[in-house]
Amino acid sequence: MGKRQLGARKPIEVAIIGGGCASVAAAFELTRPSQKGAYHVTIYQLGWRLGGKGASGRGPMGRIEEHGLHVWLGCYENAFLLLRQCYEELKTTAKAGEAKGRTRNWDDFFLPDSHIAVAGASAQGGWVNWAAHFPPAPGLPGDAIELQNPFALTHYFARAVSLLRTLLLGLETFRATGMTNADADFDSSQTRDELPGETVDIAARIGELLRAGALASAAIAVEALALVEAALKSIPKVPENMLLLVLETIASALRKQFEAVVSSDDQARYQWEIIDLILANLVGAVRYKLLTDPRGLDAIDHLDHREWLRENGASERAVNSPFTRVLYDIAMAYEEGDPNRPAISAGAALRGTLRFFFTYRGALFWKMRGGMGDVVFAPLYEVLRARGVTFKFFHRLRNLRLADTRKLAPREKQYVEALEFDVQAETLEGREYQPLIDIKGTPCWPSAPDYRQLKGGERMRRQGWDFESDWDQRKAATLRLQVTHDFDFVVLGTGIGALPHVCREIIATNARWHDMVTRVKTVATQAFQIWLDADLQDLGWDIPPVTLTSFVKPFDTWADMGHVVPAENWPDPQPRTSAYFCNVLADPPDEPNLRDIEYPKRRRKEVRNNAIRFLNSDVEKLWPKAKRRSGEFRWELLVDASAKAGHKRGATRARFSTQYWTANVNPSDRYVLSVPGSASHRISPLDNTYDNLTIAGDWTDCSLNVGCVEAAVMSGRLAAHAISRFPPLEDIIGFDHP
Amino acid sequence: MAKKTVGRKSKRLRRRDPDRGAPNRRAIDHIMLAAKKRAGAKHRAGPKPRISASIQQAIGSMVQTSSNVIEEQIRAGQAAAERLRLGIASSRQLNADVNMLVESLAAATRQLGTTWLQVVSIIVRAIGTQAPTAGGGSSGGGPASPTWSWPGLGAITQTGKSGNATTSSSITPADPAMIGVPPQIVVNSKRVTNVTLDLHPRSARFVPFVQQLIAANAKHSLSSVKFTVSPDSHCLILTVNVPTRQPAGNYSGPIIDSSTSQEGGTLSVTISR
Repeated sequence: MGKRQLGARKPIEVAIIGGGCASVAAAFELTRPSQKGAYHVTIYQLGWRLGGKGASGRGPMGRIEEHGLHVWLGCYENAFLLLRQCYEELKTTAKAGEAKGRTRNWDDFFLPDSHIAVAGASAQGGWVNWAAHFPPAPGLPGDAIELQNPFALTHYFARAVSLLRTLLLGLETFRATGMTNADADFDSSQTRDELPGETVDIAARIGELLRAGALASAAIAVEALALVEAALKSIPKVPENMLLLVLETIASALRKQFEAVVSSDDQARYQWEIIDLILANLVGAVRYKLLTDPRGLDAIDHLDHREWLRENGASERAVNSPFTRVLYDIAMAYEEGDPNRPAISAGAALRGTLRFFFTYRGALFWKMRGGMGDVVFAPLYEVLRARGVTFKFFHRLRNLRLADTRKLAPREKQYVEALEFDVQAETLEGREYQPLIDIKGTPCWPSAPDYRQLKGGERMRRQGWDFESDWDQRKAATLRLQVTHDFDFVVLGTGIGALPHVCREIIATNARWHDMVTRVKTVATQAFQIWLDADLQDLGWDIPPVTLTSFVKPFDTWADMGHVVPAENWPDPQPRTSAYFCNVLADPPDEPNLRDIEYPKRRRKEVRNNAIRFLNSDVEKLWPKAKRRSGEFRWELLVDASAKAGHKRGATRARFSTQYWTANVNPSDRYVLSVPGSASHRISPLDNTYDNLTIAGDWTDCSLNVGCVEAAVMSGRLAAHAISRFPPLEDIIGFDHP
Repeated sequence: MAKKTVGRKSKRLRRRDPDRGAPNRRAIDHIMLAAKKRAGAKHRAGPKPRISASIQQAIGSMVQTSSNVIEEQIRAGQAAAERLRLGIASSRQLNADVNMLVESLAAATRQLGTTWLQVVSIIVRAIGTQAPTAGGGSSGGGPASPTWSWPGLGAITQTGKSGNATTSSSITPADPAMIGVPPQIVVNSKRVTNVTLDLHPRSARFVPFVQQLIAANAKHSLSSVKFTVSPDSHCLILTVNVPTRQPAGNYSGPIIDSSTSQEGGTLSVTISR
């Protein structure tokens, strides 16, 4: 597409606001060759680069600078499908000369990774890291779904059964022997002669349970006995004091035995916690009739995940285990970024867990061999541009204006009448802005705009215009687009955090929209990246490179990213590895004033201090050899990007200034949460309240309903369906899912 | 302010209402849909999947029974705990409550976990995740479509053919609340004419093992029969291999539960000349 034939009907104009995953997915679907040019898409993007929360840039030495850690999962069927099709099309357009040469395959840019690690407190004190290797699953994400449908419930069940069989049948049972010396004064064989028969029965039954039962049964027995013990202590002294002695001693011995096994054996503890969690979910699934409830897992959306586990019998140990915490950490599930306010809906948690562990194809994780901007958004930009999509960079939506209700025809729905933008910058001579740069033959997005292409660009650079900051309101012009003249349909693909600022009319007049922006929560995030002159083994990490989570706050998630260093442009010797850390960032007590232009800088400084403190105090638990005898981080490990220019810094914390960190505080950059009870307040892209408007983003009701690339792509595909009836809903993989 | 585009169109375009606005989240519907898709698939070998009314009924019963069991156990446990808190002077009552509480809680957890496993195993098997490998080895010929019978929730029998052999695989759990799934039988010899497997597991942790089958002539034994787990469907498979010079006859023997060393069924294999 790109040229219109004479006499052909004019295409329908679609204005897409925002350039994140959801928006580009919608654009990709609307401009497919099969749509035969029916739609002309214009993407309006603030700043100089596509990507939204997934945007990345290239900084000094061509180093990749991300918003945070972006790892694709093997269950991202829609996202991989889109990206693989994009790469195939790129080869075609490259041959036609309409895009820069792109002959590499999608899997040249992805690295399968089957290791995940979860950090937890060790029984011996300190931290222990449980690393798991998930075996490769057949196929590749994005393969035709008919070949092997990982979303068939049969597949789920089969893999769940397999996991449970392995864990349950492979578990060692308790040994009834092995009492501690403290219990030696209780000899059950002696007591047996003295006690009434019923007491012997109890002791025998409990012993039998311990010998023959599964670990979970014994845990249940211990907890039941704890209840008995507490109750018995409140009973006045009765003639059956011997019975009390037996019961108390047995209970004490049981608990000690149980605690002795679990507290000293991290392996047993980990197995028990996983089993406990799985069983609780199974019990809950039966109890809540999830198989037959038409709401599917949304039937338990009102419960917090931990609440759900407790209600269904999980022990407190399991509820607070790293394996529970990992769900919260991966989903950044902390309201207002407060680690003391974890919140994720049981429905979202279970749905995400099922898809994450049971539907991945190929590997559990797929790490990108570059920034997300390089691997995802640059190819998509090139394909979309070749298809005829128009890109308007430096356009910030100010207001989405509705039609006057008094002018609506009978039975006419409300609609978007106008779009009002700030034009942040204009290009010289009105030329199309060229956003990409070349790093080692790969088209990439820079970390700063190319001021040379902008009118007054040098002034903007000197004055430090921050085009991506909501607090920097400077602009070159304004623009108003009118319905039917400039657009027919609107896809609103900004982040939900931006909606109160740009959809004031809708929110003021539509209760559902008001509820959505109030009840669907978001959280700011922080991240830092370091480049190191040592590899993981030198640092003291002695297992394969992993993605690890559930570590200490404020940076509980770490990924080794050494594989992207070759894609950067370091002079020799290159850094031996790089590491990304990320987590939530707490909101300030008061909402920042939109005119406070320094606010983002202050928050960045806060993240910098957090990172330095973390490197000094906590990272040694992962990298024991990364600290000096004094306890301070070995700052000399950090590769100084400015050294080449002769500004090498000493081996002090000042060296951290040469690394990269970010505070993602812009409203549209905030990460969407799935707090309990929020699913029903999300609005679907299919919603037709405003008949020329649809929405797209991982914050919408897209069926998956968690913050991730896959949800965003699903949402974008739904938005395209809302406008064009394509793709069919049945083709949006995982849309129809419990 | 930028210029507006002039006079492009006058008629405002509107979106049509979608055919549906929400996903189908009902799990049972997905099971049905998967079964239909598989039934319509062109290149499907092995037994045709069925979601029969009896299976739906069984699943429904199981779900309801399990839910009832849970509710009962929780209520009973709460009642017992309450009595304990209030202080029961009688040791007999106390003992009864403690026994009931401990055993009920433990049994419920175990039972529900394994019951659910059985339910999903049924679903998996009924829809047919993996056809058994072609029986007969060099003799070729895959197993014919098995038939299922549901005499009741307690016993399940699957009959069919593998190679030249007529097969019958039956499972009758000791606990009526359990539902067993009869193992598939794969015969890798043309000389086998009949295989009859009858399992009586006493617990959900039943792990069957065949040591040796003996013929009428006690000198003749057959030990090349074993249970394996299918790597794809994770179902139990009984594989019957027969050495070339194996004397004809009817070989039979017990199935042992390797987790308890107790007998858990019988197996007989008839080998022709």
